[in-house]
Amino acid sequence: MAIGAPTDRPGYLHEAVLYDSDEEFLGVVVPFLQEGVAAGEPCLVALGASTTRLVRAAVRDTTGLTFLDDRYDRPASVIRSNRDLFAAHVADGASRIRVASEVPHPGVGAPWDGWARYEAAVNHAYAEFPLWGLCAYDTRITPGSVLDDVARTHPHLATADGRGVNPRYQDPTEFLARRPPSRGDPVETASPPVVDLIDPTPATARGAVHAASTARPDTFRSDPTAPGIFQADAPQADTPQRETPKLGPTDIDSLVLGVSEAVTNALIHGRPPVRFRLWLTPDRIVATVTDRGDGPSDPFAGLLPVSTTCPGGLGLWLTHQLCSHVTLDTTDHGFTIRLVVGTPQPGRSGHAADTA
Amino acid sequence: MLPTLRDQPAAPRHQGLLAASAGHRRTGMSTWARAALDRSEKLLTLCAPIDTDIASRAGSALTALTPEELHTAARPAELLQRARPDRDHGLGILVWADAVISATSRDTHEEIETTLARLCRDHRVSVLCVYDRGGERRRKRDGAGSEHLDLAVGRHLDGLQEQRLALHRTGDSLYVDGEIDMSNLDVFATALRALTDTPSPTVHIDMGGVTFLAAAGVRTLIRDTAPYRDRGADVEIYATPHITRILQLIDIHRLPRLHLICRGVSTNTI
Repeated sequence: MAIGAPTDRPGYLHEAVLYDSDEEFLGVVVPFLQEGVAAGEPCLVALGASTTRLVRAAVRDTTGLTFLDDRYDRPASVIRSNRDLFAAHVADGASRIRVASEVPHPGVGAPWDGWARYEAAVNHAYAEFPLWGLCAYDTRITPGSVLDDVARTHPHLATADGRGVNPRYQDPTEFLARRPPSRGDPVETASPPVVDLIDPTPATARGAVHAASTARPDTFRSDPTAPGIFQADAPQADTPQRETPKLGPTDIDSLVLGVSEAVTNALIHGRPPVRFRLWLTPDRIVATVTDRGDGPSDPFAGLLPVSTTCPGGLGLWLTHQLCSHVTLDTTDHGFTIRLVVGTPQPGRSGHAADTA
Repeated sequence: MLPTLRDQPAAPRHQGLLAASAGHRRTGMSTWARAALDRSEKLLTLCAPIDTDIASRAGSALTALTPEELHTAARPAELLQRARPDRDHGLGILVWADAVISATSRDTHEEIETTLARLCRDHRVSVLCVYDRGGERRRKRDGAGSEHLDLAVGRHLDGLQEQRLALHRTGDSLYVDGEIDMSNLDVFATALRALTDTPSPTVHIDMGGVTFLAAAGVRTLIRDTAPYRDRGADVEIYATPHITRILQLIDIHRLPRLHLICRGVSTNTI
């Protein structure tokens, strides 16, 4: 395989490797890391648990490699912490930083919309760093629609046979502006919302989140007006009690902030009516805020760091930092922001291509 | 461990109320008037209509003042002499600021506020000044409120109550309780500007009682303390873990001369 980067241009080299076997994965990733170690470059490994095991077994000697575990939780948080990390390496004198990473997708049980936006946005967010990022995707488990987005967000492609420029790469602004509608959470179609308010004030919306989230899910299971998810999740009489939601006060605080900011943005920047809905499930809370406006004009809204002195954008960025999953959708009917705290679901498949 | 700023709450003497609506104003006035009567204070009103049940309960203990009687030119002793048949009990003075300004002028009302401050300082007098926040529709549109907000904030250091926010000042410390969002950002900003209008090298902002802080509130915190910090002075912010988390995400503690302290632990070194 080719030695060295496919281009000498400084800045961010954003490359994807699509592999269909462990051998192919190792054939690209291991030389990538070993060449970096040999050149004295910081080499970061931010892969999933099973691929990390493959790498550890293949390289044997992990000297020079930094393993970052469980790093990929929220796209905006990763951008924030990666930028800090890269800046620290540059300050330490690194002339190039190598990162081998994997982001979550429905193939591993996570929603993709946020990570699609991430893969596009990092082309800007990391542009100032001398970074070579190799993003690994296992085509055996990655849905077709995800692979399609990967092809449009990575300017470079790598295989065990060599590297090259990706002709399908799209400008991130264009990619982000033409996103297909996000997947809704399954609970949105499975049951009616427990909160449905038109034109609430931010304070009213916050109060509704607090009130709804302090209600025990058991209450809803026995509520005939709330069929669906709660009944489906209700334990059988002879089975042990299902574990209660893993939602803590921090999750509720995060959602309260996200909903308040969403309603505030809708009132200030959007067009009425503003509709706020909320669904509860045992392991997550889903909220949507819809207005008739066009949504944020900045395609990178919520993902890239914002100035604390210029107006706008900070609430949406904070929401992306704090909520588990955020989607933004503009259609002919208006703008919808969806917030999830707890464990987000991949969502309903709207694409025939999603049979991996 | 730093001493907490909340150890010595100020006695509520000269307080302000920012009324969100006519109903809020009425309720605020009635509640305060009843409490004054419960303390056996003689009740004086200035341009402040009160409910008939309170008026009948007060009976002869109720006096409606004219603006002239509270003008700085008027002698406080005379007023107190005339208004207080029983020297053992204090006076409670209820003022509807917007009505006073309509009946006289803003300048006159400012002088009245000065008189009231002096009365509260030197005598057993407690005061509630009610300022209107403007119509619901107006606030919904632009989040703005009282056009005399500077007076409401600047003259009621003992306590200023807004629908969702309460402020009080002791010297160079501002205590904030409640929720900060688009509906009261202007109040928070005005309070920060008043706090930092001081030659003191340090001011303290105790947000230990803040249960919600919108992103725009963080921006206000940064923007409206910037001129003070630019002069080389320091701002210390005390916050709960929840608010600290928000402020740290925004890297507020990395801004020059802004110190974030969570439960007595400085986060500047974290």
